[in-house]
Amino acid sequence: MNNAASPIDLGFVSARVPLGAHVCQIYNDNEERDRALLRFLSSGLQANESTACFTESIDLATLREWFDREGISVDDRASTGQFTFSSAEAVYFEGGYFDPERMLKLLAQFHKESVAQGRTGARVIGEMSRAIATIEGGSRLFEYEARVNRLVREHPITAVCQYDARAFDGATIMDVLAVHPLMVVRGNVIQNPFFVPAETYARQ
Amino acid sequence: MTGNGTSALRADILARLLMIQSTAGHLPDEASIVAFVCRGLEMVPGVTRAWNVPIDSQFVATDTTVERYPLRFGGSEYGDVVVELQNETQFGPYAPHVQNLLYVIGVMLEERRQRRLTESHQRELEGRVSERTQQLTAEILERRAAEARALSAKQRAEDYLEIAEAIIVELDTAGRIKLINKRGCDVLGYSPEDLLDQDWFERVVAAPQAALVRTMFEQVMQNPQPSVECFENAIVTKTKDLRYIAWHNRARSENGQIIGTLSSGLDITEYKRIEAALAAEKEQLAVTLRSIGDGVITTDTVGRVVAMNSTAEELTGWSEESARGRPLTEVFAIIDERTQQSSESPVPRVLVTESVVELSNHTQLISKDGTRRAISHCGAPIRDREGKIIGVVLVFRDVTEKHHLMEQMQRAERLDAIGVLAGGIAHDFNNLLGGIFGYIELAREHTPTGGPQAMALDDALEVFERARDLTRQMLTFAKGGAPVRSVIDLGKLLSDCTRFALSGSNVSPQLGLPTQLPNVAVDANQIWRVIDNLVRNAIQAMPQGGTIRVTGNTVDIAVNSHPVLTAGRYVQVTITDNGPGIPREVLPRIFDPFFTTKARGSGLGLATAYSVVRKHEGHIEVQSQVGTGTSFSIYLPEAKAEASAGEPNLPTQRHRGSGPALVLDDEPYLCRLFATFLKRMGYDVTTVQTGQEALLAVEQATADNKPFIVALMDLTIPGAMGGKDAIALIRAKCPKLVAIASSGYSDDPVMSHPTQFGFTASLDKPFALTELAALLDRHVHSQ
Repeated sequence: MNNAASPIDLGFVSARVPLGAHVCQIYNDNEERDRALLRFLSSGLQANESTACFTESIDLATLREWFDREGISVDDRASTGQFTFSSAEAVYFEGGYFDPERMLKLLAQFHKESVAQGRTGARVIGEMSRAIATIEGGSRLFEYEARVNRLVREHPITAVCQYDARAFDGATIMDVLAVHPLMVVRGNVIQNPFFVPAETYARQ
Repeated sequence: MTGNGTSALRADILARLLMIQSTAGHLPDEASIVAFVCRGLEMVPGVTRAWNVPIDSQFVATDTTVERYPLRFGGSEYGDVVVELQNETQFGPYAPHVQNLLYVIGVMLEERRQRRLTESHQRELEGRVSERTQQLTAEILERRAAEARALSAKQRAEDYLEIAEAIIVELDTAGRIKLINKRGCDVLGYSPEDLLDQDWFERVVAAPQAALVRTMFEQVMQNPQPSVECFENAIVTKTKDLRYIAWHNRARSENGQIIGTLSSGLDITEYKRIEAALAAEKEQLAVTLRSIGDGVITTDTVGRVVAMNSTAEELTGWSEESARGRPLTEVFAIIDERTQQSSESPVPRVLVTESVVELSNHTQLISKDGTRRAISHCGAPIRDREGKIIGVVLVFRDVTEKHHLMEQMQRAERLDAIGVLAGGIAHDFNNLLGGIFGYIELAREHTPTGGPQAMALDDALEVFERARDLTRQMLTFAKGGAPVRSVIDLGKLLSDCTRFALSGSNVSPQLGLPTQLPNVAVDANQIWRVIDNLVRNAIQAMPQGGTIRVTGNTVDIAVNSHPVLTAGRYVQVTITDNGPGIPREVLPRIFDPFFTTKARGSGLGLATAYSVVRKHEGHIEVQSQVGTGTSFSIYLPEAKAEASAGEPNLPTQRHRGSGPALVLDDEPYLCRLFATFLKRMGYDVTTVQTGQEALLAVEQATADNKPFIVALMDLTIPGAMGGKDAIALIRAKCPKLVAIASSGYSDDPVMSHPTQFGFTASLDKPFALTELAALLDRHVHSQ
């Protein structure tokens, strides 16, 4: 684990964030989403961080092409364990339901392996599918997100959660904000004024 | 929270309100935004709950304190946001900010609405643009397709123009050529460049018609008609040849304005040539048909008349117009003259035999007015170009005159044959009669008058006259006897003869003789006998009495207009009775010798009349109608010379002479008889039987200085020299000799013109003593 508390470059914003930041990106533009995702991953890989991506919005071939232009071989990074790519639903809804514990373990394991590999850090970016509203265990989404805030205290993973404002109603979006301490606003990362600390959220 | 119980503004709360404003803009729709805002407002101190009340819903009062914030902007309303307050004091400082936030949210919602409307309008506009674009695209495609079709049609039209057999010409209103196709150029021999914009009427139309055609064109321009009727005119090619074109014209107009004409023309030059040739051929055929002397009728294959020429019209009595389409049997009514039954139509025979068919020689055509004509005719099939029979042509001619002529010729030949026979018999009879009655006459002179012998001899001599007349008629008929012509006043002869013959009868004469009837050169005696015979026949035909009309006039006979007579002027004498007429079957035979209907007739009267008239280069014909009468017409050539005062030789007193006389005859009994005659007149007679003996006798008499005064010489001596040859030798020695030619052949030229052969006169055998005496009395005493 990188003990240095040097801020982390998310790659798609100018400001740096602390290690173990849990950021939400509310977007309504696919290009904005893709640009953030690719730059986040690229930044991580270049920083020798263990980097994982869980999304439905982009495929591996596109990633490979994009990273080739950056001089990064996705396949090589994947083979070394630095890069992990998977469908969001395959990760979040493994077995056909959403299991926060499993996800938390997965993240913890990811971080451990990062440390084991001697990475400078670990970062993960994931996009939550709108299927969360209907899938079994989906109601535990905000519980999960709140518990991530506690997880990153022990396993300082830099996590970016992408939510499509077009896919969720406004109330849900406000709830999403409540569980992410940082949020991306107009290309900047700011402290989320709506954030509710995990413990408080748990009490509510 | 502040310690004095009033609430102070917290920065994080204000940040939340700002974040609500900022983040709401990411949300996709108004409902999501309002929900997002309401949830965010619930995070404002003092607020327990926030929600949206639609504009048209009733607000339900609660026990709690609420604040209502309208969401409206620019006339649009989105209901109210109701904030339920738990602690007004805590909320109080934020109320203005919340109000501002919701105002901004109202603006945002209105922007969204406007954007949505704009987007909707944009989509609608784009949809309309798209729809219009599709329409325009479709229209463009259709227009292009139409243009392609038009181009294709134009190309086809140009192809048609290019290959058209007709000349296609477009003229503008001034008559200039705006279009002409290849065929037009080919016919004219010009290129299109030579012709385009040229004046059609000056450049192309043949001069004689150019003005007329231009006038017609200008009339069409002034008074457009959809189509101008076809007409023909000649055009002039580059090589100055004339071509005849049949035009069909159409006025062209655009927007109601006449812009010229479109004409199509067919080159009919060859057709015109063929038409002219056909017309000429047809005219030639028509002229030929009209010129044909024969009647020509053509029929179709069922025997209906198609055409006929003028001769056919004349012979049938039908005009071509009235006959056309009628059955041939109606127009061409024919019968067999022998059976008087209708003859079958020749058309079926021609169609069956498919060849030329000569038809019966005994056919008579009955014309429309009932006139019957003998015709000869034949029929032949008419074939078309393929040889198929399409009708029958009949050619026929009127042979009535030909038949008449044939009858005349056959009659003449028959009469000649009979004449030869009768002549021979009559000559021998003459000699025999001459001998018999000569001696009877001598015996009578030696017998005293009054006794029974004298009476018997007188009766015998009376029979002699009749016998001699009979033989003379036979001879006249048989040989005709060359007429001893003299120019006479025929009118006087007719008048005298008629009155003489009618004297003592109950038939009255009706003479219709002009005062200036032309003279004729005839043997007066012979013509007297002809007229006498005809008048006496008429008298005998009217035993109960009646009228004989004798007329005379002149007729001009044109060349080949009469079957017997040659061209010239003739005196026509017609003797008509009103007797019972001659039956039709008898009529053809009345001039035959020995044919008579009289109980005591010789059958030589009309035969002799016929012979005499023919010997005078004339003609005699008869017309008779049973119950009406009979009419004989005699034609005699007109004589230019004046009439002489000659009279027929009538018997005179007995002659008394003297001196040597010579008798030459091969018949001894005739020598003796003639010698007796002459001796009784006082002559000293020497008889010889050949010409040689006559010559010797003449020489002897001359030598004895006792030349012959009179010589009676038979013209022909079988096997020896006759008088005809001897006289030439004798005349040289005896220029004053009264030489009488004597012969039973009265047609011998010597008998009619004795002086031309050295004789003084002639005397037909048999003759009576008194006739010889009269002749000698006339010539001996004139010497």
